[in-house]
Formats: sequence, C-alpha cells, structure tokens
Amino acid sequence: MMPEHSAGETKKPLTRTNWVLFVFLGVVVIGLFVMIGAWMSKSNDTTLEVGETALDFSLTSFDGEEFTLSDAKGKVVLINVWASWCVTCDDESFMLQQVWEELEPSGDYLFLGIDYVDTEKPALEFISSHGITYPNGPDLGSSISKKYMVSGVPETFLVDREGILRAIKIGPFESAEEVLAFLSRADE
Amino acid sequence: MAEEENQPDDRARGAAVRRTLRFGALLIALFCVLMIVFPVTADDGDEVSDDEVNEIAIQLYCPICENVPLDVCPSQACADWRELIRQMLSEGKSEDEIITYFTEQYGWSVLPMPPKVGLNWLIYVLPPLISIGGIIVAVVVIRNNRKTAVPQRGEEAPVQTDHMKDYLEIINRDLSGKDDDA
Amino acid sequence: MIANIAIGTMAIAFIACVIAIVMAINGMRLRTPAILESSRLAALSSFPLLSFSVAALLFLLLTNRFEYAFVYETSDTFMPIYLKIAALWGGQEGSLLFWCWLLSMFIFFTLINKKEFDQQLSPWVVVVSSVTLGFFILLVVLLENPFLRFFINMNGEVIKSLIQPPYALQATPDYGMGLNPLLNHLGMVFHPPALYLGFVAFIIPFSYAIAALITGQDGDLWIRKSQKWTLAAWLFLTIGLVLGSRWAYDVLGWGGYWGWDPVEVSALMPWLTGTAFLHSSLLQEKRGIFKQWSAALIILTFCLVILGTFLTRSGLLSSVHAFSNSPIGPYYFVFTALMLISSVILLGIRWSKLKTSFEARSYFSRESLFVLNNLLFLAIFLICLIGVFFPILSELVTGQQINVGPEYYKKATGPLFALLFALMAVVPLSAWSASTGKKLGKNLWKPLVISALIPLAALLLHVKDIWAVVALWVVGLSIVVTKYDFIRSTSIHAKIGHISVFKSGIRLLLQNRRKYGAYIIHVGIALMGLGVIGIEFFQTQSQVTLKQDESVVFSGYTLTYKGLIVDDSHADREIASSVIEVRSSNGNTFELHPIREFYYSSNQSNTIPGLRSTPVDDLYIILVDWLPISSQGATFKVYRNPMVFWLWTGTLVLIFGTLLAMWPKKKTSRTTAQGVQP
Repeated sequence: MMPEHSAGETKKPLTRTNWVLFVFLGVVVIGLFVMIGAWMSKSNDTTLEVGETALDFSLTSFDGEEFTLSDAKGKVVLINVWASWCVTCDDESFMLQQVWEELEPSGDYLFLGIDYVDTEKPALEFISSHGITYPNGPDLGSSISKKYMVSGVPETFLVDREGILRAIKIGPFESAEEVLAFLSRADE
Repeated sequence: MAEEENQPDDRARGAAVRRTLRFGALLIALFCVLMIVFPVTADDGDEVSDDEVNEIAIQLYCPICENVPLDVCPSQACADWRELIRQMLSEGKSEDEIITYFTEQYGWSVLPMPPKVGLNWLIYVLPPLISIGGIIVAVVVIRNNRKTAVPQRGEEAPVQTDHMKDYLEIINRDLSGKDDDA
Repeated sequence: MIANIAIGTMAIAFIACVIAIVMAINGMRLRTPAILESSRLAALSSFPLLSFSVAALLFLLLTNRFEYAFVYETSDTFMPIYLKIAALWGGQEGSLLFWCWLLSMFIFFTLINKKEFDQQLSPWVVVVSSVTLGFFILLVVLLENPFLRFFINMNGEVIKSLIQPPYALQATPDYGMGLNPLLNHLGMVFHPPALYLGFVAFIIPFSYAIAALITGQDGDLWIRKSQKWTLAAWLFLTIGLVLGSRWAYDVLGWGGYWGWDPVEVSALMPWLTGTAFLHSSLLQEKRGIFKQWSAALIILTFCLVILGTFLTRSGLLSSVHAFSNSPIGPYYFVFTALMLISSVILLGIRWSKLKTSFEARSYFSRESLFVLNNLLFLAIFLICLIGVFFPILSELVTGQQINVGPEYYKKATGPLFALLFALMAVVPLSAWSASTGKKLGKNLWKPLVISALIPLAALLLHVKDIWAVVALWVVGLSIVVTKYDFIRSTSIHAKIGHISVFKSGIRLLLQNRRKYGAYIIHVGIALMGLGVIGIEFFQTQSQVTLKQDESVVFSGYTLTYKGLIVDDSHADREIASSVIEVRSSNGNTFELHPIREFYYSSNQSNTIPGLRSTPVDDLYIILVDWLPISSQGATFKVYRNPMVFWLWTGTLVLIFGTLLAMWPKKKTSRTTAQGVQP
C-alpha cells in the first residue's frame, strides 16, 4: 500500500520557507532550553550569602519614621520579618521585645520589624497586643523581602556594625537566650 | 421708689436668661438635627456585601499560596485582605483604586495578569500575532500546494448532495466497508 | 525482603533494556532474525519484572509498612483501601515507578505478537522505547527509589537508605502521614492513571515514527502499525483530562472545572498536538499526504509529554499540582533536550523525502481545511506554551514575579477554539480536492438555517453576550451537520433497502466504523463545547451568610438554611453536613447537603459541595469553612452553572465514538445492501 512517489521529489532541496521554519523552530527550542537551564541554575541559591554586605533598603514605619539600613552603620541591626497572620511569630515577638528592652538603652542596637504581606489594621493590633516598641513598617511591594529572599515568616537577619550580613535565622526563635546568642554572632 | 428702679434690671436680666435659654435650645435642636443627618459612623448606610467584596477579590491572587484567587483562599492572610477590601469599599473607594493599592503594597504577583509595562507587552501582543500568523501560514501553504500539485491516490469522494445517485454511491461505499471519508 | 527483590527486578529490567537495545542494533547490522528475536524477548521481559516491583510496593502500602519512607509519606492506617492503592502514585517515587510500569506494559503489548515483528521498523521501535524505559528505570532506582527505609543512627538522626547502614537500626513509625485529605476522592484513583496511560501510550507511535525516519521509509506502514495505540493514547489522555476536570468540579475547584494552572496547561499541550497528529496520521494513511506534518506532530507530542512531566516534577512551575523539588531535575532536562534535538535532526534529514503535496484547487477543499485544522491546534499550543513559560522568563529577566492567569488563555484561545468548532462543522461537507467555496456553501446552507434556530432561541431568552450567541451557533452547527449527514444516509438507505431506519443506521455505523465513530466523537466534542459555553458565559455566583431558617433568593432558586448535622463517629474525622432546602422557580423542592470534613490528625478540612445537576443547569452550594459554621448560622458560596451536564455527557459520547472507531474490523467485508442498485 505504498503510495506512488514522483522520483523528482526525493531529492528536492529545502526551500526557503523550510529554512525559515527550521530557524524559527531552532530559536524557539533553544531559547526554551536556555531559559529552563538558567532558571534551574539560579534556583539553587535559595538564601543570601552570609559574609557579604547586606543589601540596603528603606523602611517607613507605621509611625511615619523612615529607617535606612546604611544609616545604621555602627550599630548591630536585627531585621525580623513577620506577619500578623503568622502563628509562630506570636511567641517570637515577645522574646524579641524582651531582648530589645534590655538592649535599647545602650544605643548600640537597632531592631527593625518588616511586616510581610500584611494589612495595616491586624498589623497594628499585633504590635500593640505584643507591646512592641521597636520600629515596624510594612514591606511595600514586598521589595525588601525579595531582596532578602524571604520565602516565609518568620525570618531574621543579623547585620553587623560595618553593614555585613552575619547570620540568618529561618523560623521562630525558641527563647530570649537564643536571640541573644544570635545577636552575639555580630561580634565574632 | 427703690423697687421701681430695680425692675428694669430684673427684666433685663430675665430677658438675658430667656435669650440664653432660647439660644441654648436652638443649639440643642441644631445638634439633634445634625446628629440625625450625619450619623457618627460616617459610613454610607448599607453594609458592604460579601458579593461586592468577592467581585474585587476574584481579580486578585493570594500573595502566598500558589495560583489561588483571593475570593476562595482560606488562609488568615487572605481573610485579612478581604476585610481590607471591605473596609476600602465602605470608604467609597473604587475598584481601580483598590486594585492599584494592592499592587503598590504587594507587588505584581497579586495580579492575574501583569501590567502592560516593558517585557510584559509580549504576553498581550504575541497571541494575536500567532493567530494571524497561523492564518497567513495556512494561506501560504495552501497556495504553495496549488502550484506544485501532484495527483495522489484515493478516489474523489462526491460531496454530500441532494442527488440521489451521489448519495447511493456514498452509501454503497460505506456499506462495502471501504473507509474513505474520515 | 520483598523490597530488596523488587529493587532487584528493577535493576534486571534496566539490564534487559540495555540488552534489547544492543541485540536490536546488532541484529539489524548482521541481518540475523535470531538476534532480533532475542531483542524482542528482552524488551518483553521488562513488563513482568516491573510488575513484580509495582506489586511489591502495593503490598507494602496495603500492609502499612511505615518503615518504608514512601509508605510513611503517602499512606496511613485509617485510609480506605482504594486510597492506599492510589497512594502508589501519590508521591514522586511511586508515580515514577508506576510510569515505568505503564511504559513497559505498552512495549509488551506492542511487541507480544511475533508475527507483527518485522525486520525493519520493529527493531528500531525496540531501541527507542528501551532507551526511554531504561532512562526512567535508572531515575527510579538511583534517584527516586520508593523502597528507601528509615534508620536511626547513634546520633539520633533518622536517615533514609536502601540497605542498613553501619551502626544504625531500622526505625518503624507507628503511623503514616497519609495523603492530603483533599485527595480522598475517587478522582485520585482514576485521574492520574488515565492521564499517565494517555501520556505513556504515545511512546509507541513515537517509536514507530523514529523507526520510519531512521530507516528512510516514507510510507504509512508506521502509522498503520501504531494507529490503535495512537487512538488509545488520545482516548486515555482525553479521559484523564476530563476526569481531572470533574474531580476539580466535584471537590476542589469552587464551582470551576479548569483553572488554567500551569501544570494543567502542560498536560493540555500534548493533547492539542496529539489531536492534530491523530487527524494528520489518518490523512496520511488515507491519502498519502501530510507526511511531514505527521512526523513532526508525533515528535512534538511525545517531547511535550516528557517536557510536561519534567515541568511538573522539577519545581519549575508554581502550581498546586507540582511535586516537591527533586534531584531528578537536571537529568530529566538533559534527557528531554537530547530527545528533542535528536528527533528534530532526524526529521530534518528526512524532511525533503517526506514532502508531499496535494491538489488543493480551492481554499475550501478538504485538504486545505485540514491544513487550517493543524495550524489552529498549533497556534493554540504556542499560546499555551508562552503562557506557561512567560512567568519564568519574566522572573529571569526582570526579577519580577508575575502571573499569567486564566483570562490570558480564555481570551487568546477562545476564538481559535471557536474556529476549530466551525471547522468541525464544515469539514464533513467538504470534498477532497475539488470543492469550491460555492459548492461548500451549497451543502452548508441547509444545516446553517436549521442551526440558526439556536442563536434565535438564545436571543429570545435575552442572552446579551454576542460571543455566547456566536459560540452556541457554531457548536449547534457542528451537531446539526453530523446528524444531518447521518440521518440522510440512513433514511435513504432505509427507503431503498426496505428496512427500518434503525436497522439501516446500525448497519451504516458498523460498516464504516471509523467514519461514523469520528462523527460521534465530534458530536461528543460539540456537546462538551456546549457545557463549556454554559459555564464560561452564563455562570452566576454569590456568597451569603444565612442564619437558621433564613432564606435567600439566587438566580431563581430560594435557598433556606435549615441546620447542621454533625457526625463524629469516625475515628479520623468529623463530618458536618449542612441542610439547605431549595425551591426552584417552577415549584420543585429538594435538599442539598454541603459538607465539611475536619481531619483531626492534620487539622485540615475538606469541603464537599451539595450538587444538583440537570441538563439545564447545576446548582452547586459549598460551605465556606474559614468562617464559623454552626446550626445557628453558616456562610455559603452558591454557583449556578448552566449546561455543565453536557460537558460530562459529551465525554461519554466521545468515549463511545472512539471505541466504535477502534473496534477492529473482520477481514471479510460485506457486500452492498441488497437492492441498492438503481
């Protein structure tokens, strides 16, 4: 049941349309694979590098004050990413507040709370019900979280007096002692 | 007469008191009227319904869950967001204002489609281009084939018509089991 | 013990694949049928071997052997038996093993018949399919092994390993994690296997196509030999997609049936090109044309199958469907790339040899319409491809995370699908080569007029959306055309042959199964289109909080919340069924029971809608479980989905049509009906 086949057709050279087609296809396919490859190699780094300079950012607190990370050089900065709907942030914030009350008078430390994907009313309620006195502000456009590759809450970052990122904590602190131990890594 | 001398003072004082009282009553009346006309809550009288919230929520995505629209997302964060929408609606904000606010606060990942900026134009422009391109290619391919046509095997099937003869041929062929009109 | 044997059989199956490849190539080189026969036997052996491995894993699941990591992660003691079986594909490792098993099964049934094993094509079929199977077995054995067990070492760490490590003992958890409660549904039993069957079956036509390309055959032998597998693959894939859709509608989807989730789209893409391939291969078999199309389309389809599973399993796509990240990503990627590149190079070498042309005297001849058909499917496929990959591109280039939502797909593909439906209506009326627009129009006008009743009815019913009216007309037209043609043939045949219309219909159906099977399939698709139009254009929804005995009126229905029935007799979950009394506009009353199941161990709840389905519309009520639910009051989402009934009915019609078309013909063909000669 083989169809008859004009002899002249078997050796037909590729027409111009064929070439256009193949080139187009080649570009699409190669582009696709390059993209997938690039994505795959990029996604292997899921957290920031400790030891590098911490990325700068600005945070406007709920009270309207503006804080810029680079302005805080000379102080040890603890950056805590939290949300009012985050269940484990609940206990952690008490510990952080406790440590803050001890350390604030020295003027040597700065605690910044970054409110992640949250709404203002529940956030303010969270702050007041936990008695938090260190500055907190909303992460507009989630830009700070993106810079710090935040994948969930809570996450805490430690920046030393020279602006170098010294430690990252994924998940909540278990105790105030752990917070202090975390902070001490800025002086190592 | 000493009493007669005091009487105009008393009358003046009484008139002053009466004036004050009248003025006070007027103020109270005015206050009551204002209270009725401008209630303390300062909202428009109707509560915002779930459906009105969902009309907007359905146009946003949950920022944390993957690919879940905001009107059906069960998480606390989404519930907070829907409350925020409700609050903004009751303040009289328009749909556009609310969506713009959310985009500014939380980034483009809350939108079901990216804003028409820069690279994102591709996603709006490519589908119509592909559709039109497809039609053009079809026309070109058919025309090319008309030029280099080679008769191929297979009988030409008559078109379904009203003519009985043609129909009988089709039926006969069908019944003889030869597939040709697939 | 049994697990060790199972790993052994997998390893042997891999070796069998290697042997099959080596023997096939040698047998062809030396032209020795005996060697070719041993390659066939080697290829056959992987199926029984892998069957043992799968049976072993099922045994472990059914006997609650939680020391096996896979059993622990996907199963638990309380799960019903059918769900424990479904746990086989409930996790990455098991589903990959299941995939291998299905591959080996199709290879087995393709090669089992010794008489069909020819000397040119079949050895290459063995090679291509064994390479694929070998790759996947290697993935399972080395990277995603379902037979890993838990061990505790002296540091108190729990590690997973195939064999007992030194200074460590086996750890056996008392219970398992179980499948996500959302998966406790019959859909979990049928949807993944149907989908996998559809995907995997495409290996056979693909292998035959590659075989034909390598051997330089430009005939249609490869198509004929693999045709029933093509139909089977298409049928299973369609069923798998529809089952997923029905499952989403039943439980997970909030009154929706297709979310244009990237993983869903990845499964749709091979269906699109696969359908185009189906049509193209039929054309090649009948008319000897579209050879380049057929070869290209099956290569594209199979590569999309592999790409689709890669996308799903590698974590590239953000989706509710995606498996968790896995180390197989890079290897899968390389395999996909190699497969695609080598097939395309092969195709390129043979490209000019495959060139055929057809006499298309008109833009409306059947061949031209099929060109348009293929291009429409390709266009829809490209649009889907862009939709899936654009977020990845955006994140790479701009760092911005964006979504490409359902609106993109609906707006971009809607008109193209409508065109396809229009084609489906028109093609049966077209003729090969010699049809002009005028001739086509002559045949078209009667069905067009008849079907115009539909948009007329729609307008009378105050349908406002012009696109809905157009869509309804197109769908109606395709149904009318197929029925019209069939009815005419039947009635004429009945009149001439003096037999009943019924008998004549049956006879025509049976004698030309492919043609009428295809007609029935198209009617099924048109009915499905009707369901889609109903839900896309005419769905209404609302969210409402009702106190006890409070009523609300929604789209002509009066809904009253009567109260809650709480059943906490089950050990693992509490079932709260709400009672809603519904009165429709024509006075009928019935009860619906939206349910919330709360699972104690995982603290998760699952909402099941109360659903009433009629051919006219579905009333769908679901509990909103993030708001309080009690006898005093509860919040509900209510949906009215018109005509969605036809989506499922159309699928049944489609299945029937496919089975009819696949039904093998006896060798003797009957003579024409008596007394037909005029």
